[in-house]
Amino acid sequence: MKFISLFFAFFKIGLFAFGGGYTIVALARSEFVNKRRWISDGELCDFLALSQTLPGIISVNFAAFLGNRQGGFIGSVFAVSGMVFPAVLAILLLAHLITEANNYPVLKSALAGVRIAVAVMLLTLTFSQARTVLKSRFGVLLAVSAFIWILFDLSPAVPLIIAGIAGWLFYRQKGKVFE
Amino acid sequence: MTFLVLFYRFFYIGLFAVGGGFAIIPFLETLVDGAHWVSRDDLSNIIALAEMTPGAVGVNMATYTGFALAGIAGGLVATLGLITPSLIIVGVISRLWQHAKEFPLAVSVFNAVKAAVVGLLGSVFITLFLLIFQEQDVFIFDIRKIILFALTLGIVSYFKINAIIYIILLGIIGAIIGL
Repeated sequence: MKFISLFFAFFKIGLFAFGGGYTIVALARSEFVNKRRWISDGELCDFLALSQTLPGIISVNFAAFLGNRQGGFIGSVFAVSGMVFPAVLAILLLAHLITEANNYPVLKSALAGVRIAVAVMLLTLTFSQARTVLKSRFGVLLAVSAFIWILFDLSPAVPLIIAGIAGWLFYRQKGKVFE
Repeated sequence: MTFLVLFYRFFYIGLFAVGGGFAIIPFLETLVDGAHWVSRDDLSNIIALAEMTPGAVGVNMATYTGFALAGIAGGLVATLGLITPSLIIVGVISRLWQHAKEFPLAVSVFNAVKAAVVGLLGSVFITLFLLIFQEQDVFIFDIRKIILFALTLGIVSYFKINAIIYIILLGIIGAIIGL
């Protein structure tokens, strides 16, 4: 029963995940933090940061972490399958039909609306994560530097690695956990 | 034989694609240049299609390539190849993570990485916000989009609305007013 409900919860998220990876995280926050209360904002942070640093598709990693949290390895299999199912189905059904959005003006307009929703979701997600994670001036500094670095289209891996080293140095110098 | 190669190719992408989202595109280009499985036109089609269908670009691409080469079963095998590394890695890390939490040094490093991820989210928001005004690679400013964005953000900050609801609503509004 638990596995079936994991599958369908992620199916629902996968179905509305326009715009890829981070949309899934934002949707998951709405579903699992606010509505079902399976996880806290803090755990969402942990999973997001781990998904980002590990190899693989971020949204797949993220679903796997949540599934694993709820039901071990089998749970992660159900969560990931549920999430990719709509994407697989959509491609199998549409691969022949759609080549260019221009042929379908209504679809294009609807998608323009959806993009606005996605941007709002991401901004809300960013604020909620900032409130949960950033507890010191040093943390804010790391966040702002990463923000600027990636804004200039440089590799997102670099600020994450530098931040990790900073956290290590912080602990060695001050003898307490970085917050 | 085809199935085995398909599985292996996408397993490889799933194992080494770090960064996520559109960062996967350089990896997908190896399917064009290295394997000659898909043409460059196919690749740009699939990116456009990925924007119109739910789910991560990587998953869409795996399904499309597998489907083009070996039908529905091919699409499924390629997708399975892509998600398998994530399931294994997350399974292992989830277990280790419980122990790592007991080491203050690990927590310190991880907290710093989380701070950087907040900055990363901020920059993803900027990218997605600019995407609102993108039409066929041209930047077109539209005041209606700004108003819709501000309105949605205002409403969402005051009332807890499930993200799926405003994705649907904005899609409908977009189609009606012809964004």
